[in-house]
Amino acid sequence: MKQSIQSFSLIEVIIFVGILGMFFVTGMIVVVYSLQTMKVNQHKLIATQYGEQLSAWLRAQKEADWNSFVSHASIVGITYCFKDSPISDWPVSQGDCGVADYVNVSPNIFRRWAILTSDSSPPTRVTIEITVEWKEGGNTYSIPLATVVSRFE
Amino acid sequence: MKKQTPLLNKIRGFTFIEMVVVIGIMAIALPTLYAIFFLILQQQIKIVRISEVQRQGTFVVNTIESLVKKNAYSIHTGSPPSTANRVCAVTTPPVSLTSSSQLYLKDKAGNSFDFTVPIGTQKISSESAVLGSNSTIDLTSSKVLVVTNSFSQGCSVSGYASPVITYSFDLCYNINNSNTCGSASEEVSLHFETTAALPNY
Repeated sequence: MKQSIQSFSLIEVIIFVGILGMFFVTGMIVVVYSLQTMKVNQHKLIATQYGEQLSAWLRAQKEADWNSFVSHASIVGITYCFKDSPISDWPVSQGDCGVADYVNVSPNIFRRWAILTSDSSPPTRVTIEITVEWKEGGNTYSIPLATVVSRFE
Repeated sequence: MKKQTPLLNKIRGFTFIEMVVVIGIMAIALPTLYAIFFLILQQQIKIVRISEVQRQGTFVVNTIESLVKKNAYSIHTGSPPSTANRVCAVTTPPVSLTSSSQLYLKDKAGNSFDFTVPIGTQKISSESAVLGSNSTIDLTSSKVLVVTNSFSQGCSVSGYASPVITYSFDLCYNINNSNTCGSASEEVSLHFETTAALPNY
């Protein structure tokens, strides 16, 4: 009799295991979500750095030789895909990044391009729109950076 | 009384199978929990390291840009700066961006200043004659290191435009203050580059 009173019934065990299971599943979802968020934040920092790096390089080109720099821009905008890091030169061809044109630094998940749009002919101002994009966990993330450089600044 | 003793023992204690089950569950759960905790900690540490490298790199870039744009008058390959070692002026040659070149800048008052990685250190420093004999100020702390041979300097000039000076470097996080960037899996390294045009005088 005493043994019967002090043991658990099947329903009690099922409820306990169910609550414990829910707790663990919730815990796991939170952990997975926070890990994903941390990874995304980590990649955001790196992507921002790639964007800043390209922005600094384009500014350097502008400072070095304005005429050469504006020859890479047009009124409708020219797109360049920058795969190399550090950047050594203008890309050989114009156009969007292909699906596998990743920046050549691990993790190879970032695609980086810039659109250079000039204001008039002859140009006195160039708008630079930089985008660093990457895919993670089925989502596509991007870091846009926009800056304007002018001949006399 | 003698009959009750075995019964009481049975009620208060755990059976062998219960203990095995509990220890088994704990043996599965605890390593999993520790692994998850370690993974989160590792991610968090990596984010902190990237942030620190980025913060210090941005500070160096901003400081160099600001000092060059405000104070630099001419660029030289030697110290003290003189007409003989002047470069990147209209009639003097450019200097390509390499880790072996050391450029010195002269302000309008004739004082020399430069940015360098002093021998035996892995820090970026600003040297200035205005500061006196102990003329070096570190721009990076011991938390980050300049990757060996990554600090490069160069300058160019186009026509009669202002000369431009370029600095390029890689910073990595100083893992456990060991003065190394760590193994490939834990290394956090970022590339920085800045170009500043000297002011027109």
